[in-house]
Amino acid sequence: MLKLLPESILKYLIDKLPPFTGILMVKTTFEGTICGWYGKPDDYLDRNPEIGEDVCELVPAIFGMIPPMVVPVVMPRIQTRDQCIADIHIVQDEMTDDYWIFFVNQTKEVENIRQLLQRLNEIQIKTGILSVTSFLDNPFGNLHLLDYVTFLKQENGFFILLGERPEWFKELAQHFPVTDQQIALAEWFPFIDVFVMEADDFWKEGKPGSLKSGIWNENAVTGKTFSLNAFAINLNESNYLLIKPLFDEYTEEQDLMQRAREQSLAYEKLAKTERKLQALLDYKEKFVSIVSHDLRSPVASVLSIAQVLNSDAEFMDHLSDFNREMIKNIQDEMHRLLDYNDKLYHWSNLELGNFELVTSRIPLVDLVKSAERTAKPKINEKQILFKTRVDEELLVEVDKTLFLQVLNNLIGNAVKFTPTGGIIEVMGTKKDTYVELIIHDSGVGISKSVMNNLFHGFVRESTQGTQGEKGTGLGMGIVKKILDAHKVTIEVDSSPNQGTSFIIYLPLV
Amino acid sequence: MIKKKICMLGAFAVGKTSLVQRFVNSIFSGKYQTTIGVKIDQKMVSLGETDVNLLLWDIHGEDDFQKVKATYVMGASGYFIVIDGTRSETYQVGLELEKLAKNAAPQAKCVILINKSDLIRDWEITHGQIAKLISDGFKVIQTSAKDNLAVETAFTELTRMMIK
Repeated sequence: MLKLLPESILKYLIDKLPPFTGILMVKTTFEGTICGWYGKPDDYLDRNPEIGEDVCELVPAIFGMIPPMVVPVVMPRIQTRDQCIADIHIVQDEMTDDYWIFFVNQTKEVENIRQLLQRLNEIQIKTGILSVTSFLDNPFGNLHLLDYVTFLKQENGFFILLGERPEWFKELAQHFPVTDQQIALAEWFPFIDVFVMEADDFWKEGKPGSLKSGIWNENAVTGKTFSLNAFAINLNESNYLLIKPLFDEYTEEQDLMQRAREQSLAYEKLAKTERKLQALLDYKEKFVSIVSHDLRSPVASVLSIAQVLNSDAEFMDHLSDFNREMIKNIQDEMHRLLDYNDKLYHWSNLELGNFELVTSRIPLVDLVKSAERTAKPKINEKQILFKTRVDEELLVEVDKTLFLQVLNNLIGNAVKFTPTGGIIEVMGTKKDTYVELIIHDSGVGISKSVMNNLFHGFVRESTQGTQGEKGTGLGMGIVKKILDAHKVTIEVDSSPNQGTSFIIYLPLV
Repeated sequence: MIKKKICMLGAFAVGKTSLVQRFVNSIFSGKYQTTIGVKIDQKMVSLGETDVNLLLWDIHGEDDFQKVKATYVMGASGYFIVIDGTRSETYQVGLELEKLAKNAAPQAKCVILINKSDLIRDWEITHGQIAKLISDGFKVIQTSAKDNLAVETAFTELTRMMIK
């Protein structure tokens, strides 16, 4: 067949077209009328060419191309029929002015490029890289426009640089060999050694998509630091390694990490400070607990002596009025000091958690009566009307000793702040799901500033009673601590000169 | 010339990058700059007649945000476990990374650095913990990248162990 070809066409065929056995050749007149064909039309066209037919009828892609503006004309990657893409070359016979149209099958090559594009699009989706339409012309050569540098991995572990080097790469690896020689890439980028270990499995398995490395940093001689990612890609049983710098995305990631870790460090510092403070508080409470415990005996002894003297009528008769008053003051003050000391001791032990609840089911009325007995002398002294309305059969599950401290404090306070002739009421009522215990007095009420810190332990602004009784500022703090330990809530309702109500909500037994 | 890979491992903000920068470039910055990924530096060390090119892999700190990959340690001849003396929690992280490194590079030599010895008054790492490390067979060196205390010694010592 080759012998039939004009010399100029034969030369073009040998020089310009690949050694390809599947080429289809169609010969047309100057006007485009088919006058002969060679090869396998089935591979390219839906039907065989017919002599005398306009070639544009057979291959619509050629419409308007004959006569061509210049010769030869090459139309790359034209779909000539379904599932067939070909390069179409139109060459003119210099002797006869006839045209020779060559169809060179590119279907497989285009499919390969499509796969590569597919993989690159996947990278694009992951990294947000913009696509480049010119990629089709030279897939590896144009990747540098996307800041990728591309290497082909050899079986011996070396790499060959493909295509152009992006600008960043030229700056980072100034003396990198740009020939097609095999390169030990780890000599330039030691991190690649590690990534290739992972990538080798990926390449062997021929997985689709890409495998992305961790980030590593390289310093250029200019002093600039580049943060890089590598990607392993399979294509046509060849293994490719792409490296790309991270610019904005790295800064964002680093900023985020920096902030997260700074917060983490700040949190660590706070937690340490809290631990130190807690240790100091525990130390303080232990100190208070020990001192108040050791002070109790001498204070109680002095109080006993004062009480003995006070009750010795013969001794008291020999004293002047002033001295009698002094001894009575000693007794009162030592009594107050002992009370304060006891509360301090209870408070510090509650703070330290040095107690264990031993609960039992007790009639509420028994507890109220016990607290009433404790407060009875003062109640009588102030001629207060003390009323109780507690269901005899109402049971509560509490630590008897501790809960009595609560009632003693609350009722003691009510007595203290209720004027002579006032009323105190204690009411215990069974509700649907709980027991409501109210201690109400018709006293002076609680100011707003005291109310705000009522249950917070030491109250600086401890109010004096209606008869000048001094407080410790600890009572309500102890009440709250004990009720918290019982998981019981307390509320207070008070208005100046209208009285005060403490409401305790106990679980139903 | 011998080439040896050394990995810097430890919790975040223990001073790995500062130690490398102090050793390689003789610089220190007090500003904490978190490391993302891996930074590889090189430094030539001469031990007697032997020149050793150290490839220093400064690997990001281990925490909930970034986990150290075992593959980073593969091929290493030695590694430092860096613990921040002022932060007790970095002790446990260091020990866990030591296990990871031992599995990934069983032949590699290890030196544990208790860093920030310039803040020794604030140390939470106790003498007991350090004694435990020594009794477990670890070489332990107290360093300060800030005051350049024992940094050179640490790298030289690990290099000596690697080429022995």
